Amino acid sequence: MATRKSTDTQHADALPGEAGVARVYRAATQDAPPAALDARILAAGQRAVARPKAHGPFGAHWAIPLSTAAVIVLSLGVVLLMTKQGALNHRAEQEVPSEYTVAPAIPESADAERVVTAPAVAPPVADMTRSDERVAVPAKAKRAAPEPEKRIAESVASKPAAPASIELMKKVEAPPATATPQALGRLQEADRLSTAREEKTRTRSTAAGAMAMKIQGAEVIAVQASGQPGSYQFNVTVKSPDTGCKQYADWWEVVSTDGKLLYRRVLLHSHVDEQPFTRSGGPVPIQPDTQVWVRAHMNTSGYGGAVLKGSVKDGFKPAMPDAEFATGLAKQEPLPDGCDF
Amino acid sequence: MDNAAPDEELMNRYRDGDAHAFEVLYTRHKGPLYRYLLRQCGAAALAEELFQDVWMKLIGARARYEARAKFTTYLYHLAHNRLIDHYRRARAGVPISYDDDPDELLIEQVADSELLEPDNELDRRRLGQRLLTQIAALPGAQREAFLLREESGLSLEQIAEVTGVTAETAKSRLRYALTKLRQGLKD
Repeated sequence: MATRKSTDTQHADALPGEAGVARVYRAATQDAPPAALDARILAAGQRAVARPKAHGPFGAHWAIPLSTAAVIVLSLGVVLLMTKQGALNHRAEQEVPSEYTVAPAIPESADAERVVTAPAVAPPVADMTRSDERVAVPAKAKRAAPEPEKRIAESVASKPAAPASIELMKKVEAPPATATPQALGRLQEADRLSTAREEKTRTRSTAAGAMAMKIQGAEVIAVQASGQPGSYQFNVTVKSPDTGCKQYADWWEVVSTDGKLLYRRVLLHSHVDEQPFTRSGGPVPIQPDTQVWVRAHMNTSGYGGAVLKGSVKDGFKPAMPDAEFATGLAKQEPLPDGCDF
Repeated sequence: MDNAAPDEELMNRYRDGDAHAFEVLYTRHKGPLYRYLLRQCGAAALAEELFQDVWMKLIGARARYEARAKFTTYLYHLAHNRLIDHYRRARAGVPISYDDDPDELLIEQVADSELLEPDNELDRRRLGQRLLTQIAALPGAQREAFLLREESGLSLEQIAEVTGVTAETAKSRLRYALTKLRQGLKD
């Protein structure tokens, strides 16, 4: 029972007649939240401040310096690797047959001091790129090309379009005419990483899509009952694909086997950041051996998620009602009076 | 020892990672806060939902907590806001008494009388039930002023702070509430 610490004393700024009403009120009301609700909130309060313990000799004290050092070492390694790869690409570039290289970007010029300007729109790569796999190219890269760079640029410029079958260059947009061998290497590496990232993203999206397809409705995954026959309190755990007020589980309910609504717990808001979530409700007017369905409802798709069936005495297990079982209850009061968030 | 610690100290400790401090705070305030919400919204399931939301809000905002005001004021400010937020989003809207207090003041200075001192347990219970019915019938803002006073023990200044009105308005609301309740018990 919660204490009434602060109200046990007379108020310093008490109004006339206040003390008598207060006395009656305090004697009349002793309501308290259900124990299950206490447990949920206390658990949430503890979880919020729980910290993972440091393990071994390299615990929390060394974690940040060590991770920083690791990042630096890895970064240096990648840079060295890319530089090396760039040099290799340079050699490969010089040996590559003409059909393996990109389309002309800038016409050859005899002027060693000419200013090379990349086109505002990347030059065509002739069947070698897909429009959705482009690597960004500077719109205007304007500078004097050093001699080696110019040679490469001119070499690149003189090559005809390559066939679409060349995997290495397939996803590389035409590099700037001033691209150095190192830059070419970096572009290829960046493209390879980008492609890998895209693949990963696609995989993740597909998985998310499959999950969304799988979770069509609000699923009742646990039911606990307590209290007295004829007046049970139910704690129902629901898992639902809530995204906010536009898509959320808006109630759970207890339905008799002949399709009558015995109790409905309307939910005030979505539970985007609390999945699965448990909400209590009652009284549910049933006897210990009364068989009931416990199901949840989405504001978008209605019924259709996993359902539990059973009794207080024997417990509740997953079951599959007929598709049309008591669907008319969706229009029966009590219904949600809005969604808070 | 924790049971004697001030709320503000407990909240500071919880902010700094002491889960036990939260447990003491919760145990201390759960009953009054729950009753405040229950009497305000009238339905246990709704009160439980709002009650949980308020505590979750407090848990989530612990890092930003600074003991500038009394903890109880802070807690009930969260609760008041959650309640108003619920009213606003519900189709029924905010109860009119939150927006528009009546101008006419029922001035009835009634001293404590024998009416409020029942002789036996049965009369005491009946009187209590009548009072709860009267409280449920109060306009929302007056009911809130009464509940904040009785459940949280806030001063008039603190009630004003929680509900975002002047101290005079808070005092008026409480006076209205007390007058109506006493009148209801006498009828």
